[in-house]
Amino acid sequence: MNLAAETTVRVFGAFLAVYSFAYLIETPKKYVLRAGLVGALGCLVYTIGINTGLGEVLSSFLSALSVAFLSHTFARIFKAPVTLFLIAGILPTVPGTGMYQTVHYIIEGNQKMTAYYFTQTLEIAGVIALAIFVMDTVFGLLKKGGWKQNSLKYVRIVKSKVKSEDDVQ
Amino acid sequence: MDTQLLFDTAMLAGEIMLCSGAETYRVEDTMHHILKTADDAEIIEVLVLMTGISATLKRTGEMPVSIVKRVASRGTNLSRVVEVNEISRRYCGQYLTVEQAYDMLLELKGEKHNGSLHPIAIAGACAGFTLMFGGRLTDAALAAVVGAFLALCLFCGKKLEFHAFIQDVTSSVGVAFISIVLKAIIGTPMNMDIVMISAIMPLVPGMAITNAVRDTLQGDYISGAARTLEAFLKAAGIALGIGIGIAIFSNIFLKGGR
Repeated sequence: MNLAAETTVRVFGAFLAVYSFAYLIETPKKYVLRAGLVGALGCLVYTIGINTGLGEVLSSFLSALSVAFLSHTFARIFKAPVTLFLIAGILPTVPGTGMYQTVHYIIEGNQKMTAYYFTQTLEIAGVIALAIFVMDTVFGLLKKGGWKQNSLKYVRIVKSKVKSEDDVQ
Repeated sequence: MDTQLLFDTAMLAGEIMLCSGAETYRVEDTMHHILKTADDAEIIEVLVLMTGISATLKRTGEMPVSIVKRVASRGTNLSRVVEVNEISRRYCGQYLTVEQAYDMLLELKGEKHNGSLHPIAIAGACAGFTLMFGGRLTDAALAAVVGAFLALCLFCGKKLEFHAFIQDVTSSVGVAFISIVLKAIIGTPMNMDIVMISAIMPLVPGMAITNAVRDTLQGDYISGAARTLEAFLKAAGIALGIGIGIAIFSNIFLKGGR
């Protein structure tokens, strides 16, 4: 019960943070709320991952993966660039804590902890890249195969009929 | 159709998008689509790097035209990316003439965005991150104060036309300074680590990482590498600033360590 309450507060925090950040980078008004939802999902997955003992790096990977998935899905539903949701939505996963702890331990002169947090920061940045990479590839495959998106439905159409304007996604 | 106007339109569209933080391939794609509307085009080449655009168009019976455009300042303004995308789609779908498209792009470029709510947004983001990292409501309120100060630092940096790296350093020093001062005033109820981490979150290079990956995946290795470098430089700037800030101010304001 306590855990659920804490998770709710954290997810709400992520929503508020991503909502504000999306406003900050001038996301069009109608997409700001959706970007916030993407961020909230990322935090939810991360928190669940941590609480089930998956470790920080794997939790970050799953979180980034879900954020990228939802961003691509939203981009296809609302016919907007993926970046709108991805840039703000990925923010809760970015290893700010790791960066801070690295510096903190450098100043304290604790080399062991510095190395630990520095490596962890790089690992998390790496898995975020990997997650975006994976989702871009998966959704790219759908497009390459001549599947045209029509909201959430993918319809296979003859290649010559693919209108070039639709490539600008 | 006037070659010059078509070219200007494509260049303007590309410039606005690149300045607003669009991925490289999206800029190339959009410009290519606009240039392709010249129905007698023989050669269309667009090359977009992170710091500049070059394009060539050759139409039957005309000399090839090439323009190179240097793009100096880059920010983030996603609504501009969306709007340029929209204008280009409507133009390519022949709902707009090239003159109309050009005028709309010019108007879009001239628009000054209203940043009056930015301090509130930064404060909200900091407070939100505090809750996300497991801080309590008091911490969130304090983080909002730190966020407002961060907005002030960013505003001053912008007015003084600091280089991006220096701006990251000074802003993080500012964050460290105000966090430590608040800690000195308030004492134990404040979790300084969480407040400080939340306050640097709006600065972290999330966008550089995202775009670096997407550019690299598209085969734009130069832009990808440049953005990766940007991400590392940003992270190093923030770390440096926080480090300097803690090292100096914690000795002044927090007697007996933290």
